[in-house]
Amino acid sequence: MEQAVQKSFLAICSRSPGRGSAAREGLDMLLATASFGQQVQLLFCGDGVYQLLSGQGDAGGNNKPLSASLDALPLYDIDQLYVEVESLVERGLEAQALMDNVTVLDSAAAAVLLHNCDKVISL
Amino acid sequence: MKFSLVVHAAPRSSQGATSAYRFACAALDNGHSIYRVFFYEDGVFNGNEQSINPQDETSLPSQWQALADKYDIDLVVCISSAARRGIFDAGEAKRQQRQVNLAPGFEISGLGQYVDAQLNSDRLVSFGY
Repeated sequence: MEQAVQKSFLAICSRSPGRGSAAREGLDMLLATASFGQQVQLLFCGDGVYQLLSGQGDAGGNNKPLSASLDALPLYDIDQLYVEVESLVERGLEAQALMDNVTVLDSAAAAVLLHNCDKVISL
Repeated sequence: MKFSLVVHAAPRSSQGATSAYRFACAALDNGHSIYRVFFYEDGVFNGNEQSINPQDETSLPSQWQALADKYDIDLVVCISSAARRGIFDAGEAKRQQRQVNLAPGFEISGLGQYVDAQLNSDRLVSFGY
């Protein structure tokens, strides 16, 4: 496959963890995309913000939240993680409860992010 | 336009898989082309040869096969999603010591095919969240 083409991808993570392997499989899509030389950013909104709560485990099941795997992202040059502040407020969450290295945006700024990327994918 | 589809849902778990099939048919009827259909997560069940439906119900695996046959469409089932859900082609069945149940016309491959579809299609549409 040609790697000369580089597009910017924005992954919108709007769904909660605890859906079996869905978070893991969603992450695999992103890692594959990045490993083919594409630029990948993540925007967490809606129930997806729960993926970012630090200190989550998966109770020994197969429901590993994204936060457990997110350490791997910088290895794939995925280091731009954004969270929509309105989604946090709606859920009574503070930015401090989230893992490190996540940038908080309001929905207007999130719209700009969407507008500026080549491809949007939903996880 | 060149479309690719990603199907996340199994034939019976939601409307998504049926919608994907109908979208594919509509796109082809309107003169567009389908570059690839990538079956991911529960979508791999669209390639299950073993399911049996009552006579008055349609079989999505058969429908996909017929469409792929007529229009020479690439039907790709993701290898890791398939393994988790027990869908195997001859090669994987042998490697993993399992039974073959991937319907003919579908092939098993990796997420690279998904990325390739993203880069080579005008639009990629996802179904079945």
